[in-house]
Amino acid sequence: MNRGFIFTIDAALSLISVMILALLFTSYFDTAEPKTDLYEKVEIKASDAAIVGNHLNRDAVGMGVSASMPANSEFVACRKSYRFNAGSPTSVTENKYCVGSATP
Amino acid sequence: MIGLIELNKKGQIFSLDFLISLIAVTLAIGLLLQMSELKAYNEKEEAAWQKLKQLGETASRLLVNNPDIICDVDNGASDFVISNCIDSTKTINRAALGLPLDIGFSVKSHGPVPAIDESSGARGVDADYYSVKRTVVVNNSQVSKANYLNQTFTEGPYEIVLAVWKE
Repeated sequence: MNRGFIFTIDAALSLISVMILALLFTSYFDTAEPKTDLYEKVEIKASDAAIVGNHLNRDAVGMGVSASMPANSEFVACRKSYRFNAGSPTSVTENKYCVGSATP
Repeated sequence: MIGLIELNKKGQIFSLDFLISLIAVTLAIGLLLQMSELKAYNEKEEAAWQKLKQLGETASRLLVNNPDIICDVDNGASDFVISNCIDSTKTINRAALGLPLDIGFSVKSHGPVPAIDESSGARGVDADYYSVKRTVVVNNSQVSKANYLNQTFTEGPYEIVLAVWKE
């Protein structure tokens, strides 16, 4: 007050603290898709690809998914399907269907 | 002295610092109240969303696994059903998807849309909804054993989207 200030340094610091807290508070409510949802989606897609691929005798490429674990994905789900080869009750064909989420 | 309150040199009852701190404390209390109210609202919304999500996921599993919806394979005396194959002659209804009356639903597809009964009204523009995309094949009758072994179905594969919302 003696030097002509309206607010003290303490008041200015407290104002800055309140502003930082407000910024942190707003960033808390992030609208990004929850990660658990992403995993459930890739799991469902891999499972569906394996079952329908088995129904239609299509491999991973034929079902529009990957036959190996995709790199650079945060979540990956793979499913395998087996089908008896025609005329052979002992040998099977294995197909692997993998789906990855978007790059993290 | 005025009663028990002592005036300062300028004749003020309260100093400027005290008034500013009073304003700051009032604002802080207001902010805290708003935050707690927002948190309570957020938790309520989250609980409603989790419930809707559970119902949507259960309905999507039933959509591709419920014998009342999926394809039968004619195997003589021992018929069986196959997952992720929708019989377009069967009807998808609320009970088959395990949905309560206050939940609306829709099933859409780029291919043949399955027959839907008891469908609810249209979803409101602002209504929160949960959707699940499933991949299926479609058959317009019971699947014969020969067709099943030859991997022959009427249509597909198609992606169908099931959406659920609170009415």
